[in-house]
Amino acid sequence: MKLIYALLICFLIFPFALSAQIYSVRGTVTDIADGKPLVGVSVKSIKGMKQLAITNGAGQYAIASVEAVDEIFFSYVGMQTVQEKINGRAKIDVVMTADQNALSTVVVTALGIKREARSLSYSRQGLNGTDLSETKSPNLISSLSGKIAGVQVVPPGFNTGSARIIIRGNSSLTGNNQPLFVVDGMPIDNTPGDGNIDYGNGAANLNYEDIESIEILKGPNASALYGSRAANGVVLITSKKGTGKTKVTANSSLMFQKLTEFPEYQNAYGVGTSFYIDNTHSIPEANVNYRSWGSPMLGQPYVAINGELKSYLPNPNNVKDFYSQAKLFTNNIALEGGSGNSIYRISYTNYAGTSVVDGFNKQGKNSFDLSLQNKVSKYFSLDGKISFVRDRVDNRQYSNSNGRNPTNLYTHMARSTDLAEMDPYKNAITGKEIGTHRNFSNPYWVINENPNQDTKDRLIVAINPQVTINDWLKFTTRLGADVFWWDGFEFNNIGSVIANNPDGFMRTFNTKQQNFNMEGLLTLKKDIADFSVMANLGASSFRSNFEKRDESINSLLQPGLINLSNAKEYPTVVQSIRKRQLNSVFGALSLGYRNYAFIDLTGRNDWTSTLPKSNNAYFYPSVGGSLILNELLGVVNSEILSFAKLRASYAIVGNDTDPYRLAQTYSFNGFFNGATLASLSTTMNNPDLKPERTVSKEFGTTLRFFKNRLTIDGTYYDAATTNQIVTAQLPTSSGYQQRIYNAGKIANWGYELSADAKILQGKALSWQAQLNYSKNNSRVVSLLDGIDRFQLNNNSSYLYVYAEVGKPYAYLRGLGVARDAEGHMLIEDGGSLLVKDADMAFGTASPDWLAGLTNTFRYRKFDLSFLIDVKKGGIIYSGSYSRMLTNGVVAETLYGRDDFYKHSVIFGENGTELSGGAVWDAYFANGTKNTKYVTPQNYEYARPNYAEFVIYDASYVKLREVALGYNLPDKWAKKLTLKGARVSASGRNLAILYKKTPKGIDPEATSTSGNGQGIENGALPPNAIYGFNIRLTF
Amino acid sequence: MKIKYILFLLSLSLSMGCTKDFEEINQNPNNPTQVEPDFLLTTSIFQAMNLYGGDMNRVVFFNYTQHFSGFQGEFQRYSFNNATNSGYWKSTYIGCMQPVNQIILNFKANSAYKNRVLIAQIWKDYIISNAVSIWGAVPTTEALNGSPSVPFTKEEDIYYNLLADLKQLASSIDLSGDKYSVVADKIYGGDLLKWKKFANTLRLRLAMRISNAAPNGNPEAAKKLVQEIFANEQNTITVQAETAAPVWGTSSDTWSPLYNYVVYNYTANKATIPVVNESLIYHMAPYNDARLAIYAQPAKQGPQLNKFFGQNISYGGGSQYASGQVNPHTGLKQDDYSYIGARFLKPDAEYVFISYTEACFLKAEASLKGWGGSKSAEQYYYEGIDASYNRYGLTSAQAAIYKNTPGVKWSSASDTTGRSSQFKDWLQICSSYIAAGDNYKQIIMQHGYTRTRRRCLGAYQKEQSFRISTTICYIRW
Repeated sequence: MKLIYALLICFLIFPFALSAQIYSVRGTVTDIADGKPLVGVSVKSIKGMKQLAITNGAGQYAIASVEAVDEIFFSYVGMQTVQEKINGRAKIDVVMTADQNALSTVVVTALGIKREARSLSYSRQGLNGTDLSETKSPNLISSLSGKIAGVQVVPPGFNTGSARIIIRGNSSLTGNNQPLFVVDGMPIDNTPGDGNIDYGNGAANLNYEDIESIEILKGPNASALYGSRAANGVVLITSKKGTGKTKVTANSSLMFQKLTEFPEYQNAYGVGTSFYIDNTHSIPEANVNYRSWGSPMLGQPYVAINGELKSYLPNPNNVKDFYSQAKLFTNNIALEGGSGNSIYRISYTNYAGTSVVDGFNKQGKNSFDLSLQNKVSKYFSLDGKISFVRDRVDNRQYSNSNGRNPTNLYTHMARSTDLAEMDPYKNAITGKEIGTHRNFSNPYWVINENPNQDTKDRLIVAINPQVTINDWLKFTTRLGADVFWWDGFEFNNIGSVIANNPDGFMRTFNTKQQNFNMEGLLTLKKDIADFSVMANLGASSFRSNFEKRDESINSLLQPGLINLSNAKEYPTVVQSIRKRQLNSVFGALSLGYRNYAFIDLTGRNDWTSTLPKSNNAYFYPSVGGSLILNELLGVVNSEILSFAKLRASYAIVGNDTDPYRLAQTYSFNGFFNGATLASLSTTMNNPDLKPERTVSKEFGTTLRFFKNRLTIDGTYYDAATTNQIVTAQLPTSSGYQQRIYNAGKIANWGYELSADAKILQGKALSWQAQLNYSKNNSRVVSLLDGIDRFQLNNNSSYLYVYAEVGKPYAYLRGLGVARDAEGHMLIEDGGSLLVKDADMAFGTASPDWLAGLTNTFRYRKFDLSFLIDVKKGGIIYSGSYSRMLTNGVVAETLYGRDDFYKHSVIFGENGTELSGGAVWDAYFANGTKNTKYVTPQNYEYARPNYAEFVIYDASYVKLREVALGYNLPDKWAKKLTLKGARVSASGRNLAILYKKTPKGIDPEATSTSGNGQGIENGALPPNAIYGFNIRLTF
Repeated sequence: MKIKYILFLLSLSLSMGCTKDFEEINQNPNNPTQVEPDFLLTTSIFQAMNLYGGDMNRVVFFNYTQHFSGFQGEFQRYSFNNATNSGYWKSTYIGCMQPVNQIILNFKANSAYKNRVLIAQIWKDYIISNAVSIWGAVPTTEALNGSPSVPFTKEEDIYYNLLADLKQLASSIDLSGDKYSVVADKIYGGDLLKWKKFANTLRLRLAMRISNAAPNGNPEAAKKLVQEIFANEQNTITVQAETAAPVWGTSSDTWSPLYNYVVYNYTANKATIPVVNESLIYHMAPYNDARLAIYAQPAKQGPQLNKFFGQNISYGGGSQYASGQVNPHTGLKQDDYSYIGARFLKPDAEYVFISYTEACFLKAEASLKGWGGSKSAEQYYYEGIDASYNRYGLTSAQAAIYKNTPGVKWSSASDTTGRSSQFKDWLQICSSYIAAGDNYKQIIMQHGYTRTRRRCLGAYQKEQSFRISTTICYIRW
């Protein structure tokens, strides 16, 4: 509606354009920052946007004859546009100021090409480094949540774990769906580290303090120039650079992390079964049974886990007391300076973090970052960046359902157990684990006797020599390297009684990865009459070498010695090497007409080493256009409509595959009594693979109103990926578990809307709000002929996550209860057993929509901002909650217990005369309602077997970020010999304002950062991070 | 000046690789594309030991046959979930069959590998014969080729195909030709004659399995086959040394799954340690079968200390029986019962695929039907008992006593003197009671106790998705 209104105004204003006289005008344009002339500033008439002149090497311009022009404006990339009425003047000198909101004007696009945002044919969104660093999450990816429309973030289970980021849905059925990360032109590794131990994703190594900005290329239309690697979008990270002024910045932040919510426990019945603690000893013992199905806790004497005679009483805080407050401490110091042609910035950051489980995930990260800008001569400049990170983590926590995951404590620990009974955790004489429940290790044993440690040294280098051939032609080379050396060990001491290695276990690994990227780019930028031309022609080569050596021993000679030589048998050794190369040539042409109409063309041809010779070369084109409607129509000074842009684009991109997926191979599997074991790979490779192909269309508009105070950006996109390189599960009777095919199609389409409003702009008080909304729909269109599902993940045989034809991606199915026509649960004759529906459809784990709302208030030197992050829809299966039901620890399991106890134990009713307990709310096949009482224990034992009882709506509204800051007034700062000072208090995930999952279960929890989302299993309860930040500039 | 820079950058750009070494880059440096048949045969045998002698044995076969008892689990409760069954299915095809299938595919055309290919085929047939007895119709002819939809072969056809195939394979072995190395062939150390005998004995097993009346078998065909095998009886298993019984290793990745579960991971599995089932003990004890001391260990603790005491299949039950008698199993732990015999709990225990003992009982059964053989049914029957006693290191004197026990002695009835009628009923339920002259049942009971689960007797039954085969059940005992 507003658009129509705006257009109407345009048409009304148009006829009243004034007539003008003929003048001659000249002048100089300089930069306010350094007073130096600006070269290449375009001078245009307001009416008709006709280009009149461009400033020369000395910043001078001259307009020979100004016909029918009474007002001109000066525009330059990165500068605020200046408008001047001629008013008969012959000389107009202009001083230009850098655009405060530079990100929205000049943006980094694919391959680091800087362009004016207005000329882009796709939607774009970016973030400033400062938007991230105050309320930082230990994982960079988590900090993006809610800030960019179309981006979904699944946070890691632990501070040191792997986060998942998805842009505009999942485009690959079984492959990687996460975007490419590029730092200063160098594509970097972001492999997730999920497993029994989650080693974190690669991008988590990046350091907040050294990030200037992040630009998200949302999908193929924006990232087409990355060709083979563009299908999932690109996260472009630009590092901080020096400004040339000497400045020292020190930043220190101390954050705390705490669990904010626990399951709602029952505190009436303690350890035992069938309402007794243990019926084999005269004084019952705690370690005979292990679930909370015992008798009412009335203080009767019993023998606790540690053998002490105790009163059988509830321990309401036994889980809560296990967790503690973690500290995350970050210190950064950065120095920048330089003179003349050399500018530098050097920065050092130390991060030390602990975990809410004391003793786990102790992280120490040291980051060095050096950025150099060197103008060697008039023609040659050399920019370079080197960053080095040493990331060491001690005692990474075992995750998910692993018996060594101490989080299982909160699903298992009996309500009568006192945490103190778990300590000592080790028998002083035998050295064996004690104080163990049957299904999980003593957490103190795990923390103290199962150390692991890993250190990653990572070097990211980006060097960009550039030759400026003349004022419209330059040649840039990018040389990049992302190299890491990553070593570690995992040790399980002798004496564990739960896990599979009573004689201990040890593993060491040594990993190195070297990724090199070389790129040459010839850029032509010239304005010819009314046309602006930007052409890029380039070539690149990306090489990756990876090697991992893994040595493990399955039993130890002697407890405690963390050394591979401490081996009771021969070690198992695995060496895996992966090499690949991708060569490309590419070109991009952007044509602008009078700065209001633009056409973009790109093309890229890739040659990959991972596909067969006949299919290893392929071409990806894209085409797009945009139109600045208001300028086309001459509406440039409207009070209401400030800017109106329409854009459309079409892109084809694709993907190659992993190395070694063509030929079939065997592997050696060790020895059996002197003979060698060898077996065929269980994945059937495909010698005829072709590249994947994603076709994406995008339409959008950007509208600005009220002198740019309100910006609305809307986008519709539609993408489909075909020829997918899928790893399809085969029936194992085919002799293989899976086979690699080119098949299947997945479609993603949706809307994105972002709005930015400067609601108040007073000198003292200002209020800005930013809203992001996105809705992605996905549908698996086809898989293989005759196959309608691929399994993406599963939790035992209760729940499966599928890519299923006709359904959204990540569709959950599993065991449910059959229903009658009225939707009642059906129960078998006898009233004890529900009728199974083995393949019940539960729905998708993918959200319906996502939204984020940031409000920023400034009052004088204070500022306050908060982000509310919303996810609507998507479901989650909670493995933890299912165990809590079986174990009878949550309040929900009290259902029928008192009643059953009264009737069965006290009154002695049994069999058919039983008149109290739990009753299934179900109907028999003949339509009559079930009234049979069963024991609450059997009732809760049965429920988790049907996945449907532990499936929840995973919607949430979270108070994701809050930051309150104060900037010291300049005069005070000066007294302290400071250039600036800022203190702030901030918090992350401070509150969950809305959720449907049971208490203690985080709707964002996940068991993997991979494609099979929708399963929670042994995740931490919701937790918050909060603390203080001080920034001083000298 | 700028030319210099341009040239420098251009030369940098040109140094980027071309695509000609791409195929070399994509050569897998981690894994071989071809391996020795020796490695693959060992793998298949090892996988088969772990499949049949692993969890499948512990929780399925020996539980259903009431040799073992141990609380908890799907199969123990006579249900199963698909994931577990799929695990067995996967081991069958990928673990056991695919390695030998690769030998066949890769070396079939090469005459230097003739015998090794034949033995690979015999072994593959053995795996199929187990698969068909477990699941009924299974994929055979079109299995193992990576196809997303694998057609099943009719159960009946599988038997006929196997029988025809094995005949051909056994007769094609060239006793002076190539063979597997002693170390690789974990069953026969490369001995070609023994493989020939293995194939023929397997034929005998399969022929007897289809010996029942239609629709569960085809007696005419079986008879013809058995006669054919008897005509060449010297090429069946005839001595103890021909028992196919490889042993596990002593390292953690090769030791016996039962050792791993019961001994090595005792603490973790304390509550579900498989112990001897009371049915087995109640069956053996009345006959004073000396093998009981081999199969079971006396209870090491609890109310039945130092006695052979088996766990009941209902795992405890109520504390009182209807008549008011106290349930002797109330409150007992796994450790209060007889453990499985030490012989079977060793890390390097043996796993028996086909035994001399079994060969004797198969012949006894065939001979009883009047289908030939060099000896009488009675002679084969006693030979089988002797073979079994001998296998377990018992003396021929002990075997002689056993052979003379009423109910074991050929053509004699079970001695029920002094036993209550309920006990006799129970024996009948368990089919351990043998009437005088019921020679078939006598053979079956010695043969493998468990074939009493009648539904397992016929080959062609299609109603169960998971059937427990007698064939597998008795091979180890």
